[in-house]
Amino acid sequence: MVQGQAMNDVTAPSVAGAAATTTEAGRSANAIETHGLARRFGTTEAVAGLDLTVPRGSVFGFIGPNGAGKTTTIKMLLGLLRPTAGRAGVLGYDLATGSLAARARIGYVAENADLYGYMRVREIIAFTRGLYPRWDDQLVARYLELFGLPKDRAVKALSKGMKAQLALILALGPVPELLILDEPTSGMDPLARKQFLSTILREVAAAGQTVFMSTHILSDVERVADHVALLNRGRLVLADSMDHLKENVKKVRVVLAGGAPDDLGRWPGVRAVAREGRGWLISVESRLDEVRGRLQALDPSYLEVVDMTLEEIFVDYAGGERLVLG
Amino acid sequence: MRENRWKVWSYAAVLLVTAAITAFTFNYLGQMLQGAPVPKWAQGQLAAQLAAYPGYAWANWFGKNLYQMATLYLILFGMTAVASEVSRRTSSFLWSKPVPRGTVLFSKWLSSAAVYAVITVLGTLLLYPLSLAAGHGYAIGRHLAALPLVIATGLVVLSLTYVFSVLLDDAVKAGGATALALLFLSLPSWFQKTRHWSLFYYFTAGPVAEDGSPHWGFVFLMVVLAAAVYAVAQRLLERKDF
Repeated sequence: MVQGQAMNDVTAPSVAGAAATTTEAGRSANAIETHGLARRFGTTEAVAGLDLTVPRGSVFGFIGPNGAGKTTTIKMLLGLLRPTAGRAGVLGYDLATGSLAARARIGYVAENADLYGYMRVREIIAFTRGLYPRWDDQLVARYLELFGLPKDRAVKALSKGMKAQLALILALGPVPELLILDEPTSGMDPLARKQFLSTILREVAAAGQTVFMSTHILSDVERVADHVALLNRGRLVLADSMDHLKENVKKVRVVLAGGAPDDLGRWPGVRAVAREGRGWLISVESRLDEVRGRLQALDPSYLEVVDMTLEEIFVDYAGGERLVLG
Repeated sequence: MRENRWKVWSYAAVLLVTAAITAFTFNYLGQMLQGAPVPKWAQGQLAAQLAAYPGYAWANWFGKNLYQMATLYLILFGMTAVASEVSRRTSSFLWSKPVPRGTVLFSKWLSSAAVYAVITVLGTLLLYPLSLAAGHGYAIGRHLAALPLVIATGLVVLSLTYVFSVLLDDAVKAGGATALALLFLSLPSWFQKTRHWSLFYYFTAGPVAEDGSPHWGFVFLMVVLAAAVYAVAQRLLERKDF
């Protein structure tokens, strides 16, 4: 758990502490910090006590099934929704008081990239330009050329992929320190998706900007993200670096003639133990070598360490519920 | 404002046509109504209107057509201001920008108010040369005196529409709700004793009709009322979740 011990059962920092880490604008080491962030719609808890830390300069995959609370979280980070509890800081600004200043440094691509259809491409660029304190015309021109977007075409006449590309250009125009993408590749064909993600990696992440990308398409996350968090039913169930996750989160299949020790489930690094035929399937989330060593000391008749795909990891962490995957 | 272009042009066109009809139909209306079955209660009012062009022009312009058209178009201008951002799903794009919600709302309100005021003034001014061309004259000063009150009262209608546009996420519903609210506000005008309490008494420049004075006090009152109603809309917007 490199990124902020984000599990819900981990003791959350105090609200006062959260404020202290986020009020000094621009000095925070993290692009996003949330502490106990929650949003309720009637009786539905869309986001529940979210403690999340997104390091600056990271490409952060924010994943979860449909309805997990990803968009609600993003809307709270952008000041579009008010939290019912908790606090959030973005780029060092406490959102309760500095949302406007934070937004000047954020580029945002909304789900489905809904833009003003009656405007032409050059008009919506000019319109958006007027809403930001700084704007990079050369960068916008370069991306327009890269994506081959016709300036004089009406936005409503663009394909879904082209709209997403235009939305990305509009989000990058103000040279944001943080780029928030909400399901950006949803509905795109594979080629457009690849180009879109390549652009993010090549241009944005390489420039040191932070990318916070919500998606339910795990292959997108695997392609670009270096950190990942899983949200399920409004709760954060996993947050880690991708490397740490792939190296340490494994399954160990073991058959022990003498039976499994009673405390196996409580071994450090062991997350869960399940009976599988004559043996056991052990979910390990850290200290793999130590767990393997202890198992080998029990003289197993069979021991196998099984690599897990990102999909398997998240299905496992989501409590056995299958994610909607692309 | 670009999305409202058709509304702007159609409001201008409607006022132009209304001014032309007012100016050029006076001579024929009396003849057309001769022998027509006019209800007894309306006969006196009709005879008074048709007795002289100045009264006819006033009654048709300020007493009937202008406030009706203005009400319709002010609702059309205002109902989309916020509600349409939600229904066409551009609200996340707009409100995530580093501009205070109040600034965006006020710029929308101001552009609609300016368009409404300019077209209303131009339409009212246009009635004069059209009337002269039709062979009629009237004291234009009285018409000019009525404009501040008509425009200020229109701003109340616009602000009220903004309240519903913020409250309801559907422009048509916002327009309908505004129309219902205005219908309610018009109730006092149905009775002679309470007509001064109706918004439409001022929208039809009732006080100006009585003595020809601009009634700046009422103009100020309407501006304050418009500002207060607008403040409600802005307050609601600041607290609104998107």
